[in-house]
Amino acid sequence: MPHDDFGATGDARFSLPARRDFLKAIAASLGGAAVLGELPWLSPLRAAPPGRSPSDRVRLGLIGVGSRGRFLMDHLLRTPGVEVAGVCDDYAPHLESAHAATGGKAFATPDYRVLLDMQGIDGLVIATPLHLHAPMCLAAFAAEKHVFCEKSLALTIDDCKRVATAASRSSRVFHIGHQRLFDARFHKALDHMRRGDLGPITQIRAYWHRNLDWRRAPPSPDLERRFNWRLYREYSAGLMGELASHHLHVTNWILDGSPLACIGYGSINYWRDGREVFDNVNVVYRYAGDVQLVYDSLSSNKHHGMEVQVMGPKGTIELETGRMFWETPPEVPPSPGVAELARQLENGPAATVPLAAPTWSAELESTADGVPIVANWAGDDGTGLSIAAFANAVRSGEQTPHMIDHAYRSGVAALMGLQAMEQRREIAWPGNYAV
Amino acid sequence: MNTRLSLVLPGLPPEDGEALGVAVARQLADDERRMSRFAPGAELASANRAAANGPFPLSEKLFEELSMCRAHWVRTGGAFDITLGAVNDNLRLAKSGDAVSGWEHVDLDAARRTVSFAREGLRLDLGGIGKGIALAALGQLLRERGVAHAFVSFGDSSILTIGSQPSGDHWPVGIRDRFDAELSLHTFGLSDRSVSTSGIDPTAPHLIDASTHDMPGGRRTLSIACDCPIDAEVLSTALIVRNPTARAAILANYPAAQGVEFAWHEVGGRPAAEKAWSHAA
Repeated sequence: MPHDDFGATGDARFSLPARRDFLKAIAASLGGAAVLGELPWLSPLRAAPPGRSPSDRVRLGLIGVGSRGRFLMDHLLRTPGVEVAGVCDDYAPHLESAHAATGGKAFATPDYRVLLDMQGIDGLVIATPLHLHAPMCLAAFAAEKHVFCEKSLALTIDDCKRVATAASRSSRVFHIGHQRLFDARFHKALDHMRRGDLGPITQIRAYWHRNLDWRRAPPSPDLERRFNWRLYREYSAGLMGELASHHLHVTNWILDGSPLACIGYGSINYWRDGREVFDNVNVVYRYAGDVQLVYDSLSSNKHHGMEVQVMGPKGTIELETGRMFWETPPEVPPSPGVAELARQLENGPAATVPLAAPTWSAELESTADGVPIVANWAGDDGTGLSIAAFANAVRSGEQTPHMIDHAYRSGVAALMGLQAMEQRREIAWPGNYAV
Repeated sequence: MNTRLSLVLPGLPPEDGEALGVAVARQLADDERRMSRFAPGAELASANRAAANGPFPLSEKLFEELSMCRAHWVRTGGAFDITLGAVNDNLRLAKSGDAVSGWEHVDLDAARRTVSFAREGLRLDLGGIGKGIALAALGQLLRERGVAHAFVSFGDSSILTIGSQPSGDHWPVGIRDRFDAELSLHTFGLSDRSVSTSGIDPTAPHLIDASTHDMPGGRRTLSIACDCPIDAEVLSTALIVRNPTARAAILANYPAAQGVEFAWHEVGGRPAAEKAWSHAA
């Protein structure tokens, strides 16, 4: 395959000015949140926009260009100063499609080790099956490449420790694909929580329910395990790694810590199709301060969808839909007439009180479905900003604060839950990684 | 219903009040899911979207309520009309163009319990009666729970009383002056009765004359007291858009209703209220 030193810095859909506007628009959505000081991983976004000189260009290689990898690639192609210099996948149709999407400019290879050896590539974006995250991250650090790794961090707790230790000791930047870290709705919600709008947090409840078999049709039977790697324990942590890790990450972030322990049960009770991972998981995590996270995920019912509900005595915030529910809505003051009637009744018979009056307005929509945390939100879900922050961090060469901790804590928490269900016992936090 | 509900339940222990509050909230949520034309998943909203495409099956409750609205349309000589939803939207949103209305375009099929619209764009609107329907059901709930004395108010415009205040023989409910919130213009002594108040104000248009599709003029409030909160809602909405002669004809079909209307005029640069009409009050 041809190797073009200049790679793909965009295509007809996204000219450089358009990509700059895109970044400006999503960065502007963060403005005004009082909690910004508590989001140090946003610091790379404060960098000056990249110039046009070759030294400002960040050259990245993508390993794994299936559905998630292609989604990330679309964002990379829209990010100012980023060049998709290489693409890698051991499934030829995916590789060819990704290569074509770069206009044929990126270097294409089925062997990721080739990208490790390319001096012109600054960093790697890893979007492969879970069992490959650890060996690829470790190899990338050894090759002195910057790394953006999709969640979850790794397939085993030992691998999580190895990758986090290597990342913390590396001079290169490490990012994890937890895009909610860069989602303005989550920042605003965190701001509400830190200001005490919920009171002390007493419980977090999270769920991710779907009604699907999670299967992809392989082009031939011998590709079954490769195509449906999520269903096989050798490659996958199942629902805990693919879905729960997101909400565990959010919980760790909100509670500013790791789970102390967890218990849970899981089973295969519907999709008995030869899969090796649970099709339903149910785990309770214990955090400091006697706060619990109750998490469940079904593959056989989608009625409740997905949500993270943070609860306190004053209210509930639903993070995924960005809504706030007050226990006692503050926007409805008591009717002065009714308050006067109640006051008089407490002291004897009530005299005439002016109680009846027109509403003077038509019946309109109710706000019973909650108040939006960010009004008329139509912005990025965090993926675009996450990619832009990684690119800027690579450009500056400065490690992004707290990123390794976020990756480690969520990756390990997901695997703790899986262990608890597989071993049917309480699993304690296994300790931090070596620095 | 996007409004404040006030419950005054004298003598009820707080724990019983909290449990009752939960039951009331649950019942109101059911009402909202059935009667709202704004909540996308509500039964009426769904019917409004689909009934022009063919018969839309209704719950027993909503079918009965729509049938009752049609009966009130007949009893009020067409002054109370829930088919004006699209007309109302046009006026409220300052949209131009014709809006479809009229019961002649609505088919309520009792045998199949369905509703269908003969014309696209017609929208049923229970905004003028929904609070009365909800209040009637709340009254039944409270009585079933043994409540003997209660004052219930939906945003001040729709009020239900159960029994009298504990130390008296009625609840003295004042009609509030639009420009002096501490002044009562009239007092209804209510016991097991309801009062509904409608208003017309050029700065907040929302009531429509069904015959002309216009907003009536002036700055007025009209309050109706009667035994049934649904009748009170119907009458306060219907009478305010009709002249005194037409009002008398309508009230002949609603025995035991009382009514009073106030109008405001500028006097010395300030609005002053005067009684413009009354009936058995």
